[in-house]
Amino acid sequence: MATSTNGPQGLSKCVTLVSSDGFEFVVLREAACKSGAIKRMLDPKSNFAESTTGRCVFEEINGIILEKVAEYFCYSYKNRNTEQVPDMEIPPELCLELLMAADYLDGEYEYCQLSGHLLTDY
Amino acid sequence: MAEDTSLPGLSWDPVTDSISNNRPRKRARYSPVASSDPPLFSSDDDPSADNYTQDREKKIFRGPWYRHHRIPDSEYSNRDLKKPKRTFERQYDSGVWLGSDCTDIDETVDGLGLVSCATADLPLRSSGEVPAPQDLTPSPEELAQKQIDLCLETGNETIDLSSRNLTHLSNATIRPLAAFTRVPPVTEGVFARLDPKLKIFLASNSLTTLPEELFNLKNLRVLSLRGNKLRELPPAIGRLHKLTELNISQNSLQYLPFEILDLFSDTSRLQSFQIHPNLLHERLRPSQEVIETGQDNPNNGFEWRSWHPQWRVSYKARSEIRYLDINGTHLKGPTLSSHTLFGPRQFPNGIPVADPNDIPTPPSPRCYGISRVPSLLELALRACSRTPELPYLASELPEDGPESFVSLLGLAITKKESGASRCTICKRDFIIPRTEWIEWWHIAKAMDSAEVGIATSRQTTVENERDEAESMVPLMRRGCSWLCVPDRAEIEEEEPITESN
Repeated sequence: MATSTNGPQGLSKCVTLVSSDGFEFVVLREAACKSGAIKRMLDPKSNFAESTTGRCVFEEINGIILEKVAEYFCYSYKNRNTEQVPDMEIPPELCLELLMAADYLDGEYEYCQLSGHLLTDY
Repeated sequence: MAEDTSLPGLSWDPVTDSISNNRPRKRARYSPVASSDPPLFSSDDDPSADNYTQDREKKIFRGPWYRHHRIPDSEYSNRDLKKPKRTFERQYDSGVWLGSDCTDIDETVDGLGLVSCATADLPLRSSGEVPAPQDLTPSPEELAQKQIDLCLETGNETIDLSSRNLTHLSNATIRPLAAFTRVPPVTEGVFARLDPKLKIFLASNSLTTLPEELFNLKNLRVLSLRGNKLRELPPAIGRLHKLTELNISQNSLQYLPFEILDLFSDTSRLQSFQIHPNLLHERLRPSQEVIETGQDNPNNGFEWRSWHPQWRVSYKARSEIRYLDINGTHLKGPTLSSHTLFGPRQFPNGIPVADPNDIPTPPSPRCYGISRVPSLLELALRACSRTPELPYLASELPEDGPESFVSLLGLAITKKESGASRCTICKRDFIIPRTEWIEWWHIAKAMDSAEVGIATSRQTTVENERDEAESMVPLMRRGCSWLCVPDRAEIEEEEPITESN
């Protein structure tokens, strides 16, 4: 995509998310950094290849799910300062895959920390 | 059989042919003699034209339309032979024609026996016996279901399901009670409301969760959950506005939902509220004076909510905010003492009270600050919760996936069964809480001025202190985002004027 032009110095404004079946989604870098995993990928200090190319390839996520993920990034970025956040529609057939994608992308904290809270409190 | 000849119906036969034809036809199902009706259906006859020149072959098929079968050839030919010498004679006693003597009962029983012999004698008997061994051990919930059905049929408003070894109560069991209608009074000229005054007793069971339908019973007046294994009450309990008695003592509750305060509002009718003993969180006070300032100047805030005059309800203190990650992991804030599920029952530790001037500060935010936008995980989980296949989703997860999914889906199932949680700040439904804190509210029954006088004069200070401690109820408040926290201004708002008579 032409919009994801990136130079070696200075971070591009947009990044490209590539699904396993080749679909590409261009989203704002700031919006995509909502995800802990993408943030780490794109961190210049991390020396990941993604941080220089601005292109994140997700071999585990197909185009349909990644489209929804990209939509969420935009939705989240757009509503970051609103008080009454509208709901984002998620079709039921995608819910389980999206749940796993969300877990994969949001994994900022380690799961071994999962305190007894969720398991016993309910 | 001697009476047969004197029966009036038979003597009529030659005169009125229709009667004699009709009577046997009614019993044709079990009569060995078939009637000779003209063919009505094409299946009775071969429909080809040359058949009309010959003698008709009738009643090739026998039995009702749903169990049609062809008569065996031997019988068919025999019947053809018998046909000319058919006489109007009774084959057996039907009981219909008999006079009312003492043999009446025997005859009807006989008649019934004949019917069952011809149709379904064997299956009937076996159906009475075969399910019996299965029904020997119905689950406690099935028994509860039967009890509820019985109460529904008889219009009994007291549904006593105590000491039934119930471990689980499903929504389907409770749902019929929503249609409960009182039996209208017979007295004329008196109009009575048909709203039932339901009383549900679930005491001394082993319930750990409650079905949401229980809280949809608008006419529930008395609810006893004493002596169960509840660790949490669903927030939906606040919907029971007509409740007059609530007993939740002898459970493992460490806190109550914040929504329970709705039961003490001026639109509610709660008279009796039993919560002790439970494992409620006590507050650890750093210093007495700092905490009590809020109560000392009750006029600083406006009345946040109007309470029922029978109850004195006031906000006292809150704990520090617990911040949770998107998957419910505890990130910051005080730890709630571990539940004593398997160990011995021990009283949980108190939770330190936050400074009145404490300003909640969330952990370091992610990319762009903190917003009220729900996480993608939360959104996906809500979508999962909306699908009817929710209970089966966990089995569709890949085996190498993180275990937290199972617990997350389990959480979604629990929320769906016992009613959704609502953010106590922004009133949005959520599945995974992001913030939670405990507020201690003073809930006590307001005494008449005369009673107060007696109480102050007679009770010792020790008793007063104990009463004071017992009327301090920890209420769990949960928020759906890291911004859903009490700020200082709101705390002041939430200090209502203490109700005084």
